[in-house]
Amino acid sequence: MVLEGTERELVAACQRGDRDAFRAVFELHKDRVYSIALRFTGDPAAAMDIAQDTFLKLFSCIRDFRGQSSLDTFLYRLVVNACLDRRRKDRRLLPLVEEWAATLLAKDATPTENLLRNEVADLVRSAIEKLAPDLRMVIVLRYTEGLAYDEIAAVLGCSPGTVASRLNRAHKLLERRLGHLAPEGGRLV
Amino acid sequence: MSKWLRDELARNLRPVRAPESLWDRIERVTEVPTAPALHWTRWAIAATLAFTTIVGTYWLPGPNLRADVRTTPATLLKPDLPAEWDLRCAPPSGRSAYQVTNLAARRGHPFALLASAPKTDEAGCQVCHSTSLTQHHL
Repeated sequence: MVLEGTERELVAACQRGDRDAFRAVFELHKDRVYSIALRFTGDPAAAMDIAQDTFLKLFSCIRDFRGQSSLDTFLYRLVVNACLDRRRKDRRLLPLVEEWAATLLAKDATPTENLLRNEVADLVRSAIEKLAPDLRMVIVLRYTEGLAYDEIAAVLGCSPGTVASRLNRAHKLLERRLGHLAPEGGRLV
Repeated sequence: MSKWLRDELARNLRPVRAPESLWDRIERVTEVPTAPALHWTRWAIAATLAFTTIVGTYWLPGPNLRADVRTTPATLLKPDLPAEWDLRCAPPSGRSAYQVTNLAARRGHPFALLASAPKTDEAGCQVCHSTSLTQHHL
């Protein structure tokens, strides 16, 4: 059993149909689920749909959850599958106005610098969007969730070596597409 | 990989907060599943209702019907129809399709259902609705 004490109690309460426990699980994991969905799709509306589907799926199948893995890993698998099921190749990555504004509009930056940062951010997101879904998912899990190779492997059901290989390929592709944006002195290698 | 690219990826892929409306959406779509015990209760109630319906529909009327058949005189059960009458498509000469089916109905003939046909001689075959009654076509 991988589940820790509190999480196990929470899962057990969910399995008994405790509504408060469902809400607690939701509050614990909502940001994580939504972030993965948003970073994978780049579309807030699609991310909402995916997050909603993921939690509905979790609540409907939590009785079958036996605790062989952590609830985190179980949830990651659900959201990854939901993302891959719902690939929207025709959707562009849309900027999150509120989200990006705080970061991009740094206090001490000039308007030109802000414009440049905004441009770079668009290009980076666009390059991520163009990655194949399996490469994009590895990048999202690595950079959005900060998961280690073996954790990503557990979520995706592959070996850590496969994860390393996908990450390496994704990095090389991104370097090729974004290399010209690197500032002087920060040249990509 | 360069530090610049790593920083850009970390900045552009950092976690975000889920909108507050997410839980409302989940609640709106469907009720959170209820406790397993209630789930089984529902199944038990459904199974009982189904069993009662089946028994009530097929088994309970059975003995009465069988008793009726046993106590009914054979002459009433056997329709007094000429053997050569073919009730499928062609009525006997001099009889309309309606007359034949009506007679059959009053005698308890299995073709009683056909007696609900329209009261016109042009109704034709009550099975295939053909108006051509001069030959068999079933």
